[in-house]
Order: sequence, then C-alpha cells, then structure tokens
Amino acid sequence: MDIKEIYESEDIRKLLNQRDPILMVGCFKCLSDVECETSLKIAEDNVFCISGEFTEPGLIEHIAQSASAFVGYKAISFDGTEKAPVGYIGEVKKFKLGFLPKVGDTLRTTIRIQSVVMNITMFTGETFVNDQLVASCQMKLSI
Amino acid sequence: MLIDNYFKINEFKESNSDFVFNISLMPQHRIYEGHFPGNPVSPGVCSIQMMRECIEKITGKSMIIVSIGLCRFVNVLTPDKGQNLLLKISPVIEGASVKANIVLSDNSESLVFVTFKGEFIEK
Repeated sequence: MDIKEIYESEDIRKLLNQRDPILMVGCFKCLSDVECETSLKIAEDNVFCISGEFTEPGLIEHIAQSASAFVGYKAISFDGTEKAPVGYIGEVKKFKLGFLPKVGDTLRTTIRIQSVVMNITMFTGETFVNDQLVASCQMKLSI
Repeated sequence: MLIDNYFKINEFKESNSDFVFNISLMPQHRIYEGHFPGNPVSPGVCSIQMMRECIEKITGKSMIIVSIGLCRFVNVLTPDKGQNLLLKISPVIEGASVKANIVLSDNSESLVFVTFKGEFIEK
C-alpha cells in the first residue's frame, strides 16, 4: 500500500470508520511520529450545527476523530493493516472552549500523542479558526 | 438539536438538589447511518449533547459547555441498551453558571455509561 502523508476528501474514509452524517475530519496530514494536523470546513447542514454555530460536542468529536485518523494512518502505513481500527472516546479531560465556530469556518487541529499503552492512546488536541483558539482538551482513545 | 429525534425525555423530576431524567434513545436517528454502518453505537458526544439539553430544561435558557474537568465513557452505549436510561444531574447554579456532576446510567443505576464534571454558562 502507498504511504501517503496527506489524506483528503474521499480518501479520509480509509483512515476512519465514521461515515456521513458524523464524519468530522476533512483533511489529514501526518507531521511526525507523534504529531498530526487535520482540518474541517463547517458545512451548513453539519449535524452538530445549531443556528449557524458549530457546537461543543461537534468540536470534541472532531478532535477525537482527528486522533482516530492518526491511529488509522499508522495502522495502515506501518502495520500493514487494510482497514483502520474503530476508535472510541474513553475520556475527555481539561476541555476548554474559546468560542463556537460558525458555518463556513475551517477548523485546524493539531494532535500530539502523549502515550500509547496497550490499546489506549492518550493525546492533546488544539483546534483553531484562523489564529484563534477554539477549543483544547486531553483525551484517551480506546481502540 | 438532538431532543425529540435522537432521544426523548419520558419523565423529569427533582429530588433534593438533584434532577433526574428518564430518557429513551431513538434507534432510527440518522446519526447511526454513519456511527457505524451496520453497527449502531451511540456517539459519546451525543451523550454530552443530551446532558447540555437536559441542563437547558432545568434552567430554561440556552446553555453552552465552557469546560469539562473530566468526562469518562465507562461502558459502550448502543440504542438497544438505551431504551430506559437515567440521567442524574447534581448542579450548583450561580448566576449564569451551572457547574454540574452528571451520571448517565441504566434505569437501575447499576450499569454506568458516562460520568461528567463540567461547567455550563448561559449563552
């Protein structure tokens, strides 16, 4: 299988098991062993939008899927797995909301993996719109 | 957003300083088309959204989650297991802020799905 550093549009489905209407990553880019970057443009019909604003649960889902895509990327690129594993959120910690993004905004998220112990990946996520911090948190993802 | 099509509130009562909601998930919601195809699992973040909407029922105001100290997803929730759930909210209300401990469990409170500690503020 080709090792690609950037996955976007339809290709993102190779890294994640989530599908419409809850697929919350538009583009994935691997930066290093422990760091990746993702983005998502907020569509008007996004299931997590209320009155033109993208809500906190949507932000948490986007951050979780960003990390899940990273786990999927590693499994496919380095372990020779055909299908990305299903990831579940185990824990959300120290979530802070800056502001709610609006329809049409593009979220840019950085994931830093802190540890991988057995099937639990611990990481931090930070989401920005332009240069403004939208939300940050720590999470545990179980595979 | 989710109320009345992702879940419904069957009963809502206040006891001492706690608020207890009896709720049922609705298995036909379109979120299950994508989470996951052929394998419906209730998204953890939808449980968080249910908490927000129940807090809104208590305050009668539109609320947002400004911080989460800790939210644990203890057991996997499916729409099948979600027909008779209890959402128990212990809030501390101060002006526009609601700090709350919330537990989502089955009706007997023996199987816990989600525990949550965080702060909501009026929008």
